[in-house]
Amino acid sequence: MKVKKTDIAVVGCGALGAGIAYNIAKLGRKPLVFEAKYFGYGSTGRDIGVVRGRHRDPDVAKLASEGLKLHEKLPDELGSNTLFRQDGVLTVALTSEEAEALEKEFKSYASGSFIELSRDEVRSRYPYLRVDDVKLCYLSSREGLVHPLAVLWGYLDAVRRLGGEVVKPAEVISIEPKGDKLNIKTALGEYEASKVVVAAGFRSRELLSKLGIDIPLEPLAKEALVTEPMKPFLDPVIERPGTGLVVAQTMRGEVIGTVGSLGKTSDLTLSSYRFLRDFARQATQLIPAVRSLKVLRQWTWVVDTTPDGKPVIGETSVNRVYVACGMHDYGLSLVPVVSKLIGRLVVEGVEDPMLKPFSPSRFG
Amino acid sequence: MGKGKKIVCFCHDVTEEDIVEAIKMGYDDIESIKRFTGATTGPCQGKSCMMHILRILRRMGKLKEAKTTVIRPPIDPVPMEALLGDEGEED
Repeated sequence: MKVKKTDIAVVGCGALGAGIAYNIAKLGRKPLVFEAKYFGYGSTGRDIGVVRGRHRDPDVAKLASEGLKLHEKLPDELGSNTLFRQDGVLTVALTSEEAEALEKEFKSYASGSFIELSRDEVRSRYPYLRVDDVKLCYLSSREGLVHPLAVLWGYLDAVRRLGGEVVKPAEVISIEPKGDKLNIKTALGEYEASKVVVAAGFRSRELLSKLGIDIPLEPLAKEALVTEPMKPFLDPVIERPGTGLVVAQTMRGEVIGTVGSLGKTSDLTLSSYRFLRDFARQATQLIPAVRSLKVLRQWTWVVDTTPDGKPVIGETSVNRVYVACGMHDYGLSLVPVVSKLIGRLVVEGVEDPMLKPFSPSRFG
Repeated sequence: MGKGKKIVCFCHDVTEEDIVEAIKMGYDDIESIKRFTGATTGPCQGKSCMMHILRILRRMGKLKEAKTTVIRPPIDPVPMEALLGDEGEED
């Protein structure tokens, strides 16, 4: 079979892969994106869509803050609506232990990016919230909810406009250096690229290990659900970090949310009653109105995690092979900034200082 | 053929034209169509629209394998209050 020649290849077409391809195309190069299943298969299409500008880790926080700013500009830049709604994220603690941890966490955040709300203020601003059990509450008013797939579609549309190409289903089987090029074996045949960026979520580990690159990625499965639509009533995203509860209402009126996790598995077919029960209990405790809403669908959402909690972004020990993975459950917030910075790194060889802490070489 | 809109998905008012347009834009497999148009994600969860979409895919030469979207639980919509479990119930 004839080897097809291409310029820069991107492995994985989630929001991140599509964003990387867009930024490569924007700098005048021709990206070719390989998607093994369908767009947004592993994480993007299963994500709730919360965009936060803060993070416990100061290095990640810098990226998140920049990511939030870029999310604001993204619809204009791409010429397509990402359905980003900045109605704020309301972070609550319902026990004394949760309140203590939350207070400590928010102390490390830049003042001005959030405000503390008293129980009375919460009650008057958000009358549908049951505040009886709320011990502490912060509002990050610039944060909010985006449609994860709309971000991906926006990037994809722009990639195609700029002359890039996307192929699916085209699983990448291996990448091998060949002279100053890279040989890529895929389900659609062989390709030869000048550079490759791997943005394949938890599957990045297996692919890179064939090149002798070990990135200690572990999958983490979370569960999510969506209800039938109802009249828009819930403006901010409600989150309770103490239990991992997140509840929001989409632009279509559906209530969407998650709580807890299934642990270290990449099995996308798991769905538990325990999750439904925990979510129903915790969501109704805070928002009694959701009691009567019907759950339409539940699914599993897999994110890729690293031992130090930081993502992995940069050039690997194999020349011209780049990686962007290990985005935990905050990947969507970072997509616009990470894809922009890695685009510059790949095309122009310029490494932004913000990326330094995330180098793949830190795992030795 | 009658005039007017041909509704494929009654839950989200998705028309045949919307499906054809999505396929032309490259969202040409059942899972991508589901996410791009919203068809099959309403209260019927695809019970009334899935076959229509598969027929359109086939007509346009895009049906590579005879499969539906992955069916997610619950089979029928369940009210949140029915999921609360018994008081004191733990794992």
